[in-house]
This record gives sequence, C-alpha cells and structure tokens, in this order.
Amino acid sequence: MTTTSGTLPTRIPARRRLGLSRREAIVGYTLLSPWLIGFLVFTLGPMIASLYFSFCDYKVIKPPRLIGLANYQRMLADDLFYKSLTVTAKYTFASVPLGIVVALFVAVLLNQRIWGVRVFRTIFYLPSVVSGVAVSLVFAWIFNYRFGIINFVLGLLGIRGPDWLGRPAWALWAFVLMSLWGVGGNMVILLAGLQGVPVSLHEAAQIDGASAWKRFWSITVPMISPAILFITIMSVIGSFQVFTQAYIMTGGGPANATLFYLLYLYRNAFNWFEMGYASALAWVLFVIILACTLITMRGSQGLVHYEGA
Amino acid sequence: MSTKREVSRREFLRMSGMAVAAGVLGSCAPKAVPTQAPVKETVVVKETVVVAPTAAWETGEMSILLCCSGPEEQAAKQKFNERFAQSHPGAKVNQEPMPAGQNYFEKLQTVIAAGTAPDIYDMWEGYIQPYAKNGALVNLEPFFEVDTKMKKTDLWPGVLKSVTWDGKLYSMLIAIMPGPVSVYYNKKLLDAAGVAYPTNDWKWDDLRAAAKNLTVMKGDEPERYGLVFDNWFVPWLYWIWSNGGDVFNQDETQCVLTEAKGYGALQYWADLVVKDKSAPTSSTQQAMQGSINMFKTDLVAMYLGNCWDLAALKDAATQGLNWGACLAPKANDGNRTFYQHTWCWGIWTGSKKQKLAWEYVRDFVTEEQMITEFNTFQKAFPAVKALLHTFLTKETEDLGWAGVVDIMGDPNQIRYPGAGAKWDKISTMFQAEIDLVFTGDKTAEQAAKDVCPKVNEELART
Repeated sequence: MTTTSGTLPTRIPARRRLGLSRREAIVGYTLLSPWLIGFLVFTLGPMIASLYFSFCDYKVIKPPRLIGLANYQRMLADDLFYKSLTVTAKYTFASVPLGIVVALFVAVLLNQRIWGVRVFRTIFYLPSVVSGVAVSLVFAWIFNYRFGIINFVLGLLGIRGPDWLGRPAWALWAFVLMSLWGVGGNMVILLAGLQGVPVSLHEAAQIDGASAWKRFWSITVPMISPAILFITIMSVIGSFQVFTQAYIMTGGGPANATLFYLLYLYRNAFNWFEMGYASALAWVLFVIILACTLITMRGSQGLVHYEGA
Repeated sequence: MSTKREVSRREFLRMSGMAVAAGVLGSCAPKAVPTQAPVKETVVVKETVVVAPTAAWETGEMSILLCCSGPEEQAAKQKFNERFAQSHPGAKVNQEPMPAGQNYFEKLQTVIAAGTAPDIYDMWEGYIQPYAKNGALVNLEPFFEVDTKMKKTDLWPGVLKSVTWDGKLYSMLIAIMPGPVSVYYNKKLLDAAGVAYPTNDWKWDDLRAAAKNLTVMKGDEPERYGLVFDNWFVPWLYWIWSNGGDVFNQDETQCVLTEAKGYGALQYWADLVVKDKSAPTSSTQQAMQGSINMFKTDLVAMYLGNCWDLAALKDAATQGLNWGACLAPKANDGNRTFYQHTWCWGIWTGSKKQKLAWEYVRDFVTEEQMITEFNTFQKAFPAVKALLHTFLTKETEDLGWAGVVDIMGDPNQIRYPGAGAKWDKISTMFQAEIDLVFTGDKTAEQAAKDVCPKVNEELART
C-alpha cells in the first residue's frame, strides 16, 4: 500500500457565479444608469419639487410657504391665464392641422423617384435643426412689415401686406405661418411611413382601376395613419410649449396677442416672483396636454390602421 | 444557514431611485443662509440679521455680480476693486460681469434661491422693494448710524424713496437720472426745415408743432418722421405725471388712470403717431432697428431719449451726425415730472462679509475718481451731493442737463411709480392696453377703463 504524502488536495470553493439573467440585468442597468440618473435628477426631481411649490407661496428668493390650493383657485379668476390659454389653443388648432397637411404634402413629393431627391430631403429637413433663437430673429425680419420678404412678395402681387407683428389681429397668425418652418421633422417621419407602404397594394388597386387620389386616400393614408397619429400627438404637445418665438419676437405683445401659455408661466416665475403660481400653471399645462393626448388617442380609435391588428 | 435573496429588478430600480432622490433632495436643499452669531453688537431687523459695523471688516474674497456693463466700465470697476483691496488689507474683490442683454434678474434670483448669491449685486429702482421685502437685501440703516465716513444726509434726500422699503434704506445709491431725459435733435434736419432748436423751456405743443413741420410724407406714408419715442413705461409715466395725472392713488390701492389728466396725456402722445403721423409706430421702430437707430440714420429729426444713449450718439457724431440736446419738454401747463432711473448696490443678507461689503459700496459711491469714471459710461447724476461737480461739466451744460440739479431737489419733478413688487406685472397690464392706443385700436379713455379694474384686482391681491 502506498501512501501519498504531502498536503491533501483541499477543495477550493467555486467562485460564486452570477446567473446569466442577473449579469444581464446589471449590465443593462449600468448602461441605463446615465439616463436614469439624469431623468431622476433633472426631470423627476424638479417635477416633484414643482408639484410641491404649486401648493406654496414661493417668491424664489424666500423659502416657500404652504398655502394649499390657493394658486389653483387664483387661476380661475386670472384674466391673463385665460388669455394665454386662448392664444395657445388658437395656435394649436391652426398650426397642428396645417403643419401635418404641409408635412404630408412635402413627404409625398419627396417620396417620388426623381433626380436629386436625397438632396431635397436634406434641404427640407435642415430648418428643423436650426436654433429657435436664430429662426426667431430671421422671422422677425421676414415679417417686417416694411422690409420683410413676405410683404415684398405681396407687394409684387399688388397687395399691401399687414403689419404682421405690430397688429394684434395679425401677430398670432404670423406665428402660425412661422410654425411651417419646422415641418421637416414631421416630414421625415411621414416619409418613413410612406416608404413602408407595400407597392403591391398600389399595384393591385391600379389594376382594379383606382385613381391616384383614391389610392392615396384609401391605401396610403390608412397605412401611414400610425405615423400621422404620432406626429399629431407630438405636434399638439409642441404647440402648447411655444416660448422662444414669442419671447424673442414680440414679448407676448402687441396687447397680449401672442401671450403664449409658457411665456405667461415664465413671467410669473422669473419676472414677478410668483414661482408657486408658475408651478401651478405648469401642472395645469401638464393636465391639459395629458387630456389632449388621451382625447387624441381615444378619438383615433377606428381611424388608425395597425398592420396585423 | 442564511440565504441571500436575489434582488429583483423592481427592487433594484426602487432602491436606485430612492438613493438618487435622496441625493437630489440633499443637494438641492437651499444652503443655510449664513448669519453671524448674535453677539452684542448684532442688530436684528425683521428676518435679516445684520452685524453692525463696529469692528473691522472681514477679510477674504468678496464677490460682486455686475449687470449690463460694457468692457470699459468693467475695467474701471476692476481698477476700483484693486484700489479697494489696497486700502483694505486682506480683502479681495472678485467681480462677475454679465453681458448686456442677459437675464440678470433671473440669474440673481436663482443664485439667491440656491444660497450662492454674491455679496454685492447691481440693483435699480423697482427691484429694491421686492428684494427687501423678501429678505434678500441688507438694511443699511445700522451701517449709516455708526459709520464715521458717510451719513445718510450725504445723499440727495429727494430720491431716497426709490431705495427705501418699510422706511429703511436697502440699497446704496450710486447715481440717478431722469427718464426720458432729453430731446436729441438733428441740427441738419432742423436747419433744413427752418425749425428752431428745442430748449429746456419747450412745452409739448412746441415739440408737437416742430414734429409736424419736420415730417416728410411720401404718398400717405412718412418718409421721415419728426419725432421718435419708445413705447414703454418710462415715457408714458413721464407723460401721465407731467400732465398732472397718475396711475395709482396716493396709497397705491386704486388705479386712477381713468382720470382725464392721466389718459389725456396718453391720447395726446398717441395722436402724434395715429393722427399726425409725425412719430413712428412701435413696429416701424422695430423694423428700423429701434428708435435711436432711426435717429442716427436721419429717419427722424428728433428723439425723446435716455441718458444712456449718450455714448452711442457721441459715437454717431464722429461719423457725421450733428446733433444737439435739451431736457424733455414740459407739459402744456408747465409741469414736468420725470421717471427716476436709479443705479445702486445691494448687499445680500446671506453674505458673510457684510461689513466689508458696506465698506465697498460706501467707498464706491464716495470716491471721486470712481464716480467721475462712472459718469463717463452712464452719464448720471451722482447720489452723493458732494460729488455734484463730477456731473456738472461743460458737456452736461451743453446737453441742457444742468437743469437736472433743480429736478433732483424737488420730489415733484422726479419719482418712481410704486406698487413695489407688483409694478413689473402691473406695468405689463398697462402696456397691453396702451399698445392698442398707439395702434389706434382704442382710445386712451377706453383703454384706461378696461385696464383699471384688472389693475385694482392685482393691487388688492395679497
């Protein structure tokens, strides 16, 4: 019998190994953490703070003091609140449908197989990435009633152009026209939708004798309806958040004709020491946007076609 | 045997969220406002703890936030800072200038809320009361009481109201100026039209007649206007007050623009735009890059302007613009009441160097060299009476501004609107209606009737 000498082999405990799903989760959350932390710090945190401030008399330079629902009650009797809401609602009702129609029209044109179409797509998209301040300054000139290009062109047609930004009756409509500058973003989404419409559907309809308009209305529009719904919702949200243009071009004037909701909110917060009231305004805006989105979603049922649904 | 439970994703998220939220709340909590320990020489003023300046100043770095000053003015202030540091061993001044056009008060409010405000900051009329009321400005009365170098009586008494809240001084006045101070006129255009140069004795009717004579029509549109003025609260307060009207009653509880003298003044000046067409609309001014630019480019013959326009006009003179100036005209009954522009320093209540800050603001406004240099940039009337000679030069006499001395001594000739923290908002309410008067969409009487109930509501709101 032989004996072995030396140390007995000791059993080294296997290193605890994490399960695959757990490792994946850690990696996932690690990759997610910059956004998550950013969201919590810069979005959720301020949101919670603003909700609290909305129940406070908060002058910014003095600690907030709880006053219950007084800020919300005050809104009910605030003429400027209604004025800013009316201005913004008018703008939304005018600019959103107009913007969608124009974006769709441009997208259809840029979906044609013509020479240089990629260049045109780029050109049409470019304006939507230009800074809002720069665009506002340029449009202040475009709408200049003496030297602006719009009135110059109208003059060539024998029409005396209005004082776009100087008259209460015209100022808001100038902003509606200006909103078309940013249709490039929506155009790209619709263009992607148009390119996803199966050619075979159009060919079949063509064989059956459907006209171009009939094919557009009965095939193209239903097929891109999810994209239309998406840009409708996003445009409505965006239209309630107009600020830069009004701040730069008119300051809310003349006679509050361009007093957009966000501009009024800003003035309360930073010009008039009413951060508590401004926070309440922000939460009311949140509720309005949420309601508009839900109404749009509900209203779209039966109108939006989801493939495979 | 202990088992370690695997953390679910939901739990992981919840814990992360709580940890971050705790961090956020911790870091966002306003820094405790540093106050001096309440020792013997401490004077408690409402919510503000002020250390009476019995001992020497604090040492270390003191910060100053500057608003709207150009590079030359910043350099002059920097030189003063160096002189101040020399005369105050152990002290250092760090000034942070903000370029013109930036949102100064937005920044100031934010740093105050964050507890990181500078020790001293630029202030001016209309902001002192709300900042004092909300505990962001140090009450300077205790400093005046014990200071051996400066007394409150060294300042022009007629203009102290603009820096006063609750009967106490909350900012150190640097300089004051009436607004809109001058009629600037283009000598070449007046000579060509055979119109006499305006004088300090002119009344509104004189100016209106001259403006009509100087207006050149092309078709039904003026090719050149006789007069240009800005449409904001400084000119329209000057019109209303000079005409014997007002925007508020004595105790600032009611809007009184509905009285004929108030809205009558607005209608008078609106008629220059709407009826006479001798003055451009606001949008025409905007189209021409502003009122002063219209004046500099011969598009108008006269400009109801401000003291801070002087530098730009002197520059234009080097490029051939031959202009003169006199004080803004009196109302037709001979009265003239200006709006009071005020430059001043505020000291933050959270400052740990309040004594040093007091030394700084006191030395700034009393140092002849600094005020003389300040006058080259802002051309304003020094708040300290003894420094009047720095303002009264040949240049100011040529501008007709020697008459400002009489104005400063008479509170009826220079004032500011009141309503404290509410003025900024109320002025926008007035402005919205006045816009319509100057576009001809409403009469001034109707505008006043429409706006006053809203203003009354705002005045009544606690």
